[in-house]
Amino acid sequence: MIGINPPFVAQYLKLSVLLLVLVSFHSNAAFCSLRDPVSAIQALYTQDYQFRTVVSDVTEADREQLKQLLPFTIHQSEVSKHTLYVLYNDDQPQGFLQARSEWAKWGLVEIAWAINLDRSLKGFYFQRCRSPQCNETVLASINQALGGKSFAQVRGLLSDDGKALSPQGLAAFPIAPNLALLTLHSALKTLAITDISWKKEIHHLSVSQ
Amino acid sequence: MKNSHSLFQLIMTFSLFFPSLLVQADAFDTSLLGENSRWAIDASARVNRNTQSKNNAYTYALGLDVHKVFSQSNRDIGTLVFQPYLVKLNNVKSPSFYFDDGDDTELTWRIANFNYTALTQGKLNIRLGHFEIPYGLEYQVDTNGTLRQLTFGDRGIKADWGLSVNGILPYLEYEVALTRGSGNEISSTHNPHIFSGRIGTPSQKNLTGGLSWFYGDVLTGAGVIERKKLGIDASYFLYQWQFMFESSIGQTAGNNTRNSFAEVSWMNAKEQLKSYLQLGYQDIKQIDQTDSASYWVVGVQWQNTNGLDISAQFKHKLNASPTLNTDPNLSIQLRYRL
Repeated sequence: MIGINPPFVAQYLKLSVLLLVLVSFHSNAAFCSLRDPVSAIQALYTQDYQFRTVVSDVTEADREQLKQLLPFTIHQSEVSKHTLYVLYNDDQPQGFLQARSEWAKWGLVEIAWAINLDRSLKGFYFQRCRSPQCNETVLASINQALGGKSFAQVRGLLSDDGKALSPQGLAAFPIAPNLALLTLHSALKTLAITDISWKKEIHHLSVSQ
Repeated sequence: MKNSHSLFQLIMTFSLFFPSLLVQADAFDTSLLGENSRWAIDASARVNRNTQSKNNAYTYALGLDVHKVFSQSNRDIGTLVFQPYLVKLNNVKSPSFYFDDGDDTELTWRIANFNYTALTQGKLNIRLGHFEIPYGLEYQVDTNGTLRQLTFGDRGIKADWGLSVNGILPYLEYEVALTRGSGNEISSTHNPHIFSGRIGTPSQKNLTGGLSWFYGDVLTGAGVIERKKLGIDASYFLYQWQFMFESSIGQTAGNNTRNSFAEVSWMNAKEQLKSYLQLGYQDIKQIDQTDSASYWVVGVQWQNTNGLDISAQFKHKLNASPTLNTDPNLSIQLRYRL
């Protein structure tokens, strides 16, 4: 058995109490682990595009506003800084890209969404999905059903309570319906939060065109 | 013990001051760091107990983590990551050479570099500053400030000052670096240097592989040691499991070496609890004999969504030899990112 002396325990308890007292604010992983979604941009746009980062605070008020639009909202832990990438070809804005995470029963699924300037969906890319189900066939199938759809059209693929696919959704996603449901949740949250939290940037882009 | 009390008082003072700092956080973001910036404060306390000699060694760290993207009107220019940490040791028997002794306090650098990304939008970037040596599994996993470490010990250096080219192409990712060989110290004697690199398959896939190299003279407390490594690594995710493997051949101070490392880890679905089991093997061929040693590590890490991180790890030898030995070590760490 490992012997641990009382002063060691006392010292550690002091530090534990101190650190627990400080627990009241959110935080993120170390910032050196942040990566630009270069692979997603290469997959969803051609190689001639440039991107510009726009970091914005997704606030508790934004989370509440999203609740008015959908029967679900983003997790409390997502109330923090997030990045929207604006895609350019030459000097003209062409669309947006945003990566968001959804919980699956096996962990986080991170999806990068390509969004057109009119905020319809261009496509998506699994940046991280630890299930073998997230393969190229499933990706292409769901992408085909979602490409070009607006927020209202994507919403129509879900049931009223948002917990299942609607009859239209069941017809649109013949393979991997559970993964399609997760992807639809991500798409709707992404489209809504982009309009809410990056409203100023989107307005600025539409004025400058 | 006097030192640890002083440090405790320092942290208490900091914690009283901190609420006013947070109130001003938004203003600090926009006025001082400008747009597209993030910052956090990272505090940790760690005890390492050598369960054979019954010695407790303490390490306290308080650091700043800044991330800022610089942009033009239609493209990003580059990313700055700046992570200075004040590290205080207490009763550490074998401190890193840049500490004066086992009770020293030093300013250390985890990551502090600027990655210029404006050339080809991610396909060819130029990094300047202090960054992780691009080699093996360690390059893909953020292990800065965590108990869980992978294989940097084989090379004697984790991060270094220098220059690299790096990028992501459709079917491979790469980083090639020329660095100072001195680790935390930017000024150095004995003219150390390291040429290192890793070329691997896309890191976002569930199955990844890479080829790495490491050649150079690494600064240590006793001068420089010549190290050469050529290694391969692989990683596979399956639902909540991850399997990792790395193996290398090379030389240390002219003696042939072989190293192998494997890890199996599991995370709960909310990704707050992670447990892992590691196995490591090394051998070194000297003039008339080959010494080999192996060890195992078991660890657990729990993080909550408020930034608290509690982790524990136990390391023990499987077998040892006169020149290669692993003391049994129990480590516990509390960490908080604000």
